[in-house]
Amino acid sequence: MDKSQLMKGILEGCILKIIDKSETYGYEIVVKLQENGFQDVREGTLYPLLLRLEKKKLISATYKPSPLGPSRKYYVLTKDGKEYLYSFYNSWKETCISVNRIFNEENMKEERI
Amino acid sequence: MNPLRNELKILDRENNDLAADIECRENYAAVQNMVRYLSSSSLSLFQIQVIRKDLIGMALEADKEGLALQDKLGVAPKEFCDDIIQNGESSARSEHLLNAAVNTIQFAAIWLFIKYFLFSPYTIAWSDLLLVFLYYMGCNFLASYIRNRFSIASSPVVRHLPYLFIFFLFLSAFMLLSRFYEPVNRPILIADGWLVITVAAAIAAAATMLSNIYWRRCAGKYTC
Repeated sequence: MDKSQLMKGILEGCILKIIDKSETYGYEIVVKLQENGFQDVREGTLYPLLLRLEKKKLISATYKPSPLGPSRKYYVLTKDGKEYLYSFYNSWKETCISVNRIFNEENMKEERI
Repeated sequence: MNPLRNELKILDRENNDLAADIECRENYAAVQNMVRYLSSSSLSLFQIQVIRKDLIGMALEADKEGLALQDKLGVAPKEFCDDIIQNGESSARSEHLLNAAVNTIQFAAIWLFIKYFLFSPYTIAWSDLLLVFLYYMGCNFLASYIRNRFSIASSPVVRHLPYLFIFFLFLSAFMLLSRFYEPVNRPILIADGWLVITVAAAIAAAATMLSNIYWRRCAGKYTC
């Protein structure tokens, strides 16, 4: 199954949630996503998504000096981003309920048979 | 607010300095090739420089971690660039036109200035217009577009051959036309040289300032 399209929308919501918790940079977001089960996410997957969120004005970026080398791009959520995150989470909960209901129904039918 | 300050060129220069710190030649080449590929897309020219800055940052981090840039990205360069193109700001066509127009106006002003000291009485011929037009077409558009499009090709010969070919093609066309086609050398305007130079310089200065205002606005959208 090609998970990429399904993942893009979900990843966007998760990235916004991570940024909402605290101002952060690309590599840290990748690590947090991987720690939470998104093992396939790499910096090359994340960067275009961050660009897309910036284009939609859901996040904004600032360069700050890094102790380890080149300056890092730190991201924060904008007001629109906070609203989008709120509506994403509500939509996600509704979608989860609907998907679970359909799959549970299927499981119950199989059990009856 | 300095009207002569071109934010795009400043960011380009900063990126050149930053890129010089990349130690691994493969990572340096990978950044260059990806940026050239992005330059042939519809992405905004200012955004390409912002992306270049980020890519250089990633390459420097990859250097420190002892990794190849592609391993750090985790995806093939072309796939990565195509994803960026899909998600970035697209306004390159008008920006390329703006840059090409300003470059050509500046080139025309310089050419008219040089001509004033070489020829007397002062005339503007069809060949002058032809030269400016060839400069506009050859250097601004075709050559750079083809070179950028081939940038992900691994062989340096393949990358530079189209550029050289177009340069010589346009140069030969100009030489042949002005040598064998007499009407091209007919004057369009015979005027006071200083007046022509002053008007050309004023137009070039105004065009430069207007484009700088545009790039300042673009810079305001990004925090670099």
